[in-house]
Amino acid sequence: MLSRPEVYGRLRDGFAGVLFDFFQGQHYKGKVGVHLGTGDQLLLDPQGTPIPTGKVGKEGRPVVVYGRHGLDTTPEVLDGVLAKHPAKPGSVTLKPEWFFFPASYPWPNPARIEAVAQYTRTPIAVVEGPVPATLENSDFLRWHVRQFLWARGKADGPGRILVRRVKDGLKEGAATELASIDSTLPAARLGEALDAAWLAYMKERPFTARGYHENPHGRWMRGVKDQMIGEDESIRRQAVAGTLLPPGRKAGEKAPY
Amino acid sequence: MRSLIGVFLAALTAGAAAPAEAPAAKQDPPKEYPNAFAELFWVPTYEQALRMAEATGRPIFVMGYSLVGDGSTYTKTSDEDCRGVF
Repeated sequence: MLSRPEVYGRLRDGFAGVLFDFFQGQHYKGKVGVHLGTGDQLLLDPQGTPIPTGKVGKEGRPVVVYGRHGLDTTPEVLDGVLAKHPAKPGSVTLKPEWFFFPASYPWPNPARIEAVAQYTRTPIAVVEGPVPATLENSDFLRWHVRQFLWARGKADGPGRILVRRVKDGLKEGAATELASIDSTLPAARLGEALDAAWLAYMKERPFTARGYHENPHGRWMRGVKDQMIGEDESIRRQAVAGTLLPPGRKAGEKAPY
Repeated sequence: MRSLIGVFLAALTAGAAAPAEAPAAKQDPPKEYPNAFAELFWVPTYEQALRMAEATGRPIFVMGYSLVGDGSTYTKTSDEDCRGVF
């Protein structure tokens, strides 16, 4: 957990997250009222309407931007939002289609999944053939979905999940294909195979995303450079030791499927 | 994507962070972050976030970043000009 787990934990447990790349931000500017720059944030109600910060801008309009150029997303701010928009009671059934990168977009020049994977340093899981019933199991999905960026591959042919990574930041000659997994395997074996592929990625995950520190525009991040590097190195050590926990899991926790 | 939001949150909250610690002695073990790899339930698009929010009742957290289709990132320097910075 980097920097402020009391903030990050609330976002993780209470919110749906979405990243606006440049052109997605342009496309939805009319709906959310603002185009976000890097590091800018919005908190939206479940209907997608921006939740104002409570501040009023120079032009007399409510300020809706949090983050880099707006109000800090403190625990108090997030608690206030979560109190007004509590999660529905009971276990929510997650749907794989929420997480698949679209095959096409209603805006030009979308950031390709490879570009997002490069930027966020995440492996990609491409689901070929029919979506396996195991992936429709919400418990299975909750356990594994945050390990990868997900996409659909060719719909015909045998069911398999291809796990790959992008080349950027990899050492010379390293393969981009990490695994080809039979998606009809029983849930326990499929889960083990996904965990193994994820861990293989994490053992060689590129360190801090390119340019954050060296680029003149990344100067604003240099105050926490040492912590960022320290956490990256810690993650690498744990991955190599095989003790790194995938996102959302606790030590000793058993798979719920 | 934890790294992404982590970078942003770390930077945004740098001013509120505890004072920097003195450099560790050489024999000290490296600091470990046992729960460092956490993650939100990220979805790719606004429309997908709406569907998830409708089903779960969750509000939505949107993070902006200047990534464009070819994998570079842009900084908007004027209404008509974006420059690649990486």
